[in-house]
Amino acid sequence: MSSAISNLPPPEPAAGFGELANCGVPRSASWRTLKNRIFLGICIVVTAISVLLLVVLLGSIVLQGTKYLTPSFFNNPPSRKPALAGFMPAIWGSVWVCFFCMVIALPMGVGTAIFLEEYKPRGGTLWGGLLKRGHSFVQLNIRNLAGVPSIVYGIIGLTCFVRMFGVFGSPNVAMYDSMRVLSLKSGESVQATLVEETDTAYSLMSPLKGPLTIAKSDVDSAREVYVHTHHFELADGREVEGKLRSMDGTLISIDPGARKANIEFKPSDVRAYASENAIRLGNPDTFFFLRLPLGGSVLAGALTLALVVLPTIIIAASEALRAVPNSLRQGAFALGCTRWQVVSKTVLPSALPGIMTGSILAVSRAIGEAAPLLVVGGFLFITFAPRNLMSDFAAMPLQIYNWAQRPQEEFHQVAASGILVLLSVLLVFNFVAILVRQLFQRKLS
Amino acid sequence: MSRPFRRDLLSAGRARNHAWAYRTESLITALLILLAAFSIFTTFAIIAVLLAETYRFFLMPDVTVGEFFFSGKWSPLLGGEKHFGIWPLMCGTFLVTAVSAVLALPVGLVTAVYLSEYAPAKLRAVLKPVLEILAGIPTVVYGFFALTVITPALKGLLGDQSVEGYNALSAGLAVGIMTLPIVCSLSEDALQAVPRALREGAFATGATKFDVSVKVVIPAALSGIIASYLLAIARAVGETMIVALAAGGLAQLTANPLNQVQTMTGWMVQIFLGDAPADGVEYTSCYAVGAVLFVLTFAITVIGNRVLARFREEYD
Repeated sequence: MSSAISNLPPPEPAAGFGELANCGVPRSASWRTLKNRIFLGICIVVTAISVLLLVVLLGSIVLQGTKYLTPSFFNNPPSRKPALAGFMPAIWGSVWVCFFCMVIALPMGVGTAIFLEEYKPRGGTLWGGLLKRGHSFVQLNIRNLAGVPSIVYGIIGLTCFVRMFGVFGSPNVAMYDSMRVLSLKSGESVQATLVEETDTAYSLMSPLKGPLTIAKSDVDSAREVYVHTHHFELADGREVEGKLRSMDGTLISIDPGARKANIEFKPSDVRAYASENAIRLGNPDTFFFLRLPLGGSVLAGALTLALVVLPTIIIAASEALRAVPNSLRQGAFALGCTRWQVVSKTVLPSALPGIMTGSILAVSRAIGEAAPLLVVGGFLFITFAPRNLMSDFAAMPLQIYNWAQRPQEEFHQVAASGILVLLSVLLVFNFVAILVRQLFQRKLS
Repeated sequence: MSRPFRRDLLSAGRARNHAWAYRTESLITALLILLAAFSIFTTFAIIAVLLAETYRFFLMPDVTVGEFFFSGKWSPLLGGEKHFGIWPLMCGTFLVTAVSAVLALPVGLVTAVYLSEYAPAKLRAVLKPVLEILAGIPTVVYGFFALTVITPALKGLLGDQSVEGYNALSAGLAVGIMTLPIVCSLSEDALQAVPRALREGAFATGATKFDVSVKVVIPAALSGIIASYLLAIARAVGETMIVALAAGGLAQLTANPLNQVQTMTGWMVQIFLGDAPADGVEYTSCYAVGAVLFVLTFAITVIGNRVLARFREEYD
């Protein structure tokens, strides 16, 4: 060992140090100031490019998006005609999902943060040592959880919430649970609206109202319906051919090659659930309705999004709690408060603005998140706001995705309008967050 | 700073409610431990679900473990023989990530150096919010931007024939713009954490700002910068909506970013939006692909956080 060291050549002065020492030598002073100038130039150009990118991004969206941004855009359901296409179900879907997401995630996140920051185990005893280990593991774990791609959370949500591990029926049936295709079996009649549109021109749209009877169809199982194109003969003699794409009986759309037809069902038409084991509580028409498995419902979406934003909330709340001066805690302890009294009566009130700022930013993350909702709910052609936690939902980013991936130029413009709405909502949230932050700072000083 | 007298605090401490307070205390501690345990539970749930479903996938006909990890053919939906070799999807992910890294890593670092070392305070006050806005934009918006602005621009620049309508380059550039604020703000934090004394020492030897930034501050903050790079790369690997919109849907082994590719996340989107039946082999394959994606991003994030933790220890 020692011989190996003695065989090494004598150490040279560290390269960095030598270079640094040379910095002072006037030899290349002009070159070095030139280098400095060039680098500053590069910096300014690169930074300007970043700013320019933002300007181009927002500019292109504003340019494309203003055409269809009319009052009807906020009131209409999506449509196959760009001029009639609206954002209403998506806006309400986002409101429902994000509200319940926060109702779930906020208490859990703040609770975990309180545990991490205020209940640090001291170690010592065996139990305390174990707790301490667990404590640092949780802390590390949360940072790592924040890096998990949101689509992975989507898959977890699909398995745990949407299908519930198939406990309440086979995953297939659970997934298409409510497909009650059900009413389309030969000879059955349902109260429904048939909307017919021609494929090419988007010009003709003639809603035919009244009881609609499917005379004949080759549908016999939910799964087959989902995969294959089918041939339907309507009671009025017309024949349509297409796919059933809905996962919930509230809406089934048939996409034939030449003609398109959407058949809407009212929830009261729901006759039977395909899943025999499914548990249902309450009436599907009321707010108090629960069914298991959750299916691609608002609740499943909210739970999945809660998983996505939980690490963000925990990290933000931890930082807010850490910012509370220790003297406040010590003062309260000196008055004889228990730990929870200290936390609930002094620490939490002081940290509240910080926690609120973090939560607002977490909500805006949840509002813009598309991937997990896409996995959980799929994209459905939904024409109304959710009624209860078990309703299917559309969401703003999902609807934007759907419009953006269509080939028609007009739908790109509709997508841009949607983006404008989404970005304005986020801007408002960010503004509120900044406002809260500033109020907080004023209070501390 | 004077604080109002808190009568409620005083009464809270009174011995009157001692037993009650003690009981509440243990109850709440238990509840908080339960909440914290949930985060560990989530991690294990992710791993368990992915493992179980991946196992089920490998048991299916048409699928072998060897083919999945070592074959370069991914053609499940083309009818006839189905092939599940993950490499074409990996290739797509790597290509998009590489393009994004080429854009975001240098630009992010240079912007961070500018913000931290050069920019006047007033400019900083404007630029920081700009970066925060960039960071807050939903990814679906970047996807739309890639599809409607970057791709047409590339077509105009490089010729209509050489650029496909969906391509890895435009998706990668959009992902790069998306990860730019991550690199920039984390790197800037690292640069700011370098003690002033180091800078002043270098200035005292007659160094220019450039010398100080490149030879002193960046080396001192290197671990923080590397961590920001790793976290940005992890984000790029897991990015979904941009690639779903702009990268295309053809899984192929290619090194040309002008071709269309399918990433791992892109495949999942195609299946979950598409007509594949639940329980089918394509559907289940998403769990296997998701497992690979999870392992990849989790590993990068863990390494990144390790590096970050080390850098924090140095100057705290």
